[in-house]
Amino acid sequence: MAKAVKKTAENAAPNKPTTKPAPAPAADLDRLIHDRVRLGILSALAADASLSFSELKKVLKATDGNLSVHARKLEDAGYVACSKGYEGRTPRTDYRLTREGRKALEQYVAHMEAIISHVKGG
Amino acid sequence: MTNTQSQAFQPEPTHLHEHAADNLRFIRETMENTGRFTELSGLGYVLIGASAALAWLVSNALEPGFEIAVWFVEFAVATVLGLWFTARKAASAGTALWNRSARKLLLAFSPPMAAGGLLTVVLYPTGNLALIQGIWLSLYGVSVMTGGLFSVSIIPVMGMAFMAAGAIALLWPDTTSWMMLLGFGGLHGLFGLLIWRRYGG
Repeated sequence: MAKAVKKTAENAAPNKPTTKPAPAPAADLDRLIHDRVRLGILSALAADASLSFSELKKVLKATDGNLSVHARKLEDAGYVACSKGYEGRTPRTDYRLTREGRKALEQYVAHMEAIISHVKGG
Repeated sequence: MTNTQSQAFQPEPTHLHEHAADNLRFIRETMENTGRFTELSGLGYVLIGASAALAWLVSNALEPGFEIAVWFVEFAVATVLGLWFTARKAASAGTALWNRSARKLLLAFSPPMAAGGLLTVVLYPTGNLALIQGIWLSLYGVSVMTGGLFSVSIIPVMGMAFMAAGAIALLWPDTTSWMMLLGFGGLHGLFGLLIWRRYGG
């Protein structure tokens, strides 16, 4: 497994300065979750099994429109699951991480750690 | 714009690994903003599991009177390992170790541990080590479960597994020694690997 991580790092990190933000290799990096809001949604749901739309909005300090657009993209990709219901008379939307979403986040974290360890290892 | 001019407006070069570290910090901070303590170290738990397995081997090799002393030493070693690797993970992520989530976690974790300590003192003169160890497993499970409510979702599951091991040890005292190995060695190792994989070392 360590070999696999190292291999990813070698492919991923040219270890040279760059002016582009987070220029990880497109082949390996999951672009869908590289976006900050979407990465934030997955991270929050990885810590908490289920969060409502308003809880996510509070955690991520996002606007309604922005959050719903990004949550929809993750839902379409099968990374989050959404359930709608009522809390009293108020509509409530709950989100949770799917197995695919957790796997994608794990791979993203491993990718970032591989880049860091590659640089530290010289 | 000439080449010289465009070079003058080039932003400072940023290293790829700095972006990667920033992204990891963002993930941890977002998790923490949900009110969860996310700096528990998977590697720390794996090493605690390994030290517990070693303690189990040593305690089985020694005379019964020394067994409890070995586990006291193991408790101290595990505490140091846990704190050290948690602090290390927080430092590498650039986040504060002693934050609101950590205080909540400790507050929820401590009472069952204190009760376990008290019961050990009370029951020690009876010489019933199987009962004491069954209580250790059960109350440690309660501590992990209650403390884990303020951490990532896998921690309360580990607490439940410890409670199950404790229940087996208390109901069938002959299994206590194996439950100590399976619990403090095996469960720490297994969940440590899962935490390591999901949330980093």
